[in-house]
Amino acid sequence: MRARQANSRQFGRAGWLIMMLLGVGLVVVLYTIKTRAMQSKALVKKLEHRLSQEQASVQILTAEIAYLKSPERLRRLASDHLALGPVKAKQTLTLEQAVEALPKKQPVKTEDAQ
Amino acid sequence: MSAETKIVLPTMEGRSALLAGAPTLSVPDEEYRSIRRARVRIFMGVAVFSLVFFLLVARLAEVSMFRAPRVITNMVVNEMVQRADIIDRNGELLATSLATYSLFADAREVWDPVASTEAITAVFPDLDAAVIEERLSSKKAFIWVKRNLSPRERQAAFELGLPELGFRIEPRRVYPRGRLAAHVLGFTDIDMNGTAGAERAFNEALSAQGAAPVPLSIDMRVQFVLDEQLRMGMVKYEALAASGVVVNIKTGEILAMVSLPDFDPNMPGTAEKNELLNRASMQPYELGSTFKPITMALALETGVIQEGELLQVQNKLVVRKKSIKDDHPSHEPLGLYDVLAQSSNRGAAILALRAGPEAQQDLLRRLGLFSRVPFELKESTSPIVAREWQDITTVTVSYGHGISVTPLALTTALAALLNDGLYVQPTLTRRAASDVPSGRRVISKATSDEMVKMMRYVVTNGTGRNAAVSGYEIMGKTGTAEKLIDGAYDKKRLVTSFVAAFPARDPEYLVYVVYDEPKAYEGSYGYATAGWNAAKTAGPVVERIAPILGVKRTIKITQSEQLAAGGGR
Repeated sequence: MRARQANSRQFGRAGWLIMMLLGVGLVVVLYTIKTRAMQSKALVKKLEHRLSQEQASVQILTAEIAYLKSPERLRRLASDHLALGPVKAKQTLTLEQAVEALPKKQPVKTEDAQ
Repeated sequence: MSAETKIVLPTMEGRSALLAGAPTLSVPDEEYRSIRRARVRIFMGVAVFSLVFFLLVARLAEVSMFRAPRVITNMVVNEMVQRADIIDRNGELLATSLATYSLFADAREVWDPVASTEAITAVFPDLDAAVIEERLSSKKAFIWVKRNLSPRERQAAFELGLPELGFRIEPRRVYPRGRLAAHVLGFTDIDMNGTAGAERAFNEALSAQGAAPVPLSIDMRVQFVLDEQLRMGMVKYEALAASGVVVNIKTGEILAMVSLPDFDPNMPGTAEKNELLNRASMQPYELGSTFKPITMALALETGVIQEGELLQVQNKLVVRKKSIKDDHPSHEPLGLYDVLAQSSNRGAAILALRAGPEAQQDLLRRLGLFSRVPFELKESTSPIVAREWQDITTVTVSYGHGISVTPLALTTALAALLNDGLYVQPTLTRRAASDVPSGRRVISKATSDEMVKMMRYVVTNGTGRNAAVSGYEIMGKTGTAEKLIDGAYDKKRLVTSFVAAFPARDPEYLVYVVYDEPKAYEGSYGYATAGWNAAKTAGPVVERIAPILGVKRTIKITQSEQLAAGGGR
């Protein structure tokens, strides 16, 4: 009876110990996982931040390109540096019209024909 | 059994004697008592330890599993309100959002509002020190100090090192083309809500999460050409204002809409009221003889003129004691084509009187001239129409007086006359070929075909000759109206306009140009009428935009041109 009681106590203590160790182990594992998750989250956030920064830079560059391509700016540059002006109707022809505009080639005179 | 009354004998003999009924001696067992007390203490110790340990484990689990990570505070708080770009019909960027820094303060963190105010206003001298000090003394958790800072301003604020200050990244609406299409695009308020133009009209589509760029029907190149020509014209003709519209007759798409003077949508706060007004869709004018094509269509539709009939425009015409006069009086009767080509008020009046007020009003209503133009912008005003429609109203409206409509309204109506008689609702949204509405019939196709010929005749033989451009077969009509000042028409203050459509073989585009109070100039022989300014603007506009829009010139190559070209084939 006594021996059984002693065994039971020993098992109880061991159970406690195992439970405690298990609890500690679980918490440590959980903490590690949580820390890793937080690190990953921080990394994702950092990458998202970089992405948004890159997007903002792209947006700025796009706006800058749009400004550089502004018709008013191009007109000013074209007239100041290239002496270009607005197109006149007489300066435009379709390809067919251009071909039409060329004079017909004179027939080649050969010695035989002479 | 008590420890004071009972002794447990250690030997078997003793146990037997006890069982045999021998007397027992009861003595206290101190050792047993001590052990029992010790056990209780140990149990309590273990319980307390276990409880503390359990609490620690529970707390650790709670912290690691359920507690949100601590917010790392720094000076920048991100809060980007998304707003999609606006692009033109070819994908060219017209409006976009850029990230800028805005400065805020936590007034609870302020140690000395006066010192903080001095520091802040030293960096931003444009801020009102009294307002800033009041805000910093308010103990509020969040107050704006200045929004949309430039990078330099941001750095200066950062270097102040005040703990109460923080930055928020906010988008700012930017219009990289500057003033181009300012009235069409409109602008937003500081919170990125559209308050005018397309920004307001398409606010929902632009501010939706992950919204795609909104394409307008505007063609930036056409917009620029119209803008530049009108700007040059305004200077040359010393006009108070100018406006213009280019539409696709078949699809109803507005390719360009200009109103001058204009403003820079990047700085709408600096614009004056006069500059913010979109004259193309918000300013009703008596547009004069550009109304006459409608009267011609009315006459053809109602059959009030016979083929080849001449109208007696050389005779006096008096309606309700008002004598109807022509700017270029004819001494002989005129046919329908010449009434339009020579812009005869009497001819138009005779035709309108014959058709009657009901038919006239009915046609005007069908052409949308009795209501605001139904397009996306809120900046669209209703016409001003006479309360009582008398016979004199019929007469004056026939040549564009006594009714005030916006340039866009008349553009839409005239486009319907040239679009096989079909009215297509104008739009600022790019329409795919499959989305083009079939249109509402307002006049017959036969009348429309006749209108094309008649308006072409105006440019080849009439008042619109100054708008002619070789090869583009421009049709058109001039309009010169006197402004109504204090109830009387002022002959020196004019509103001139010209409608040009091209090409006549299949009308596709319509250009409408208006000048407000243009003046005569050197070479105009003292005239400030539409043929000398509006027509001279519309022609170059067509000349420049036709190649952009892919309209080919119809030309006949002469022998001399062939020889000049040289070479061979």
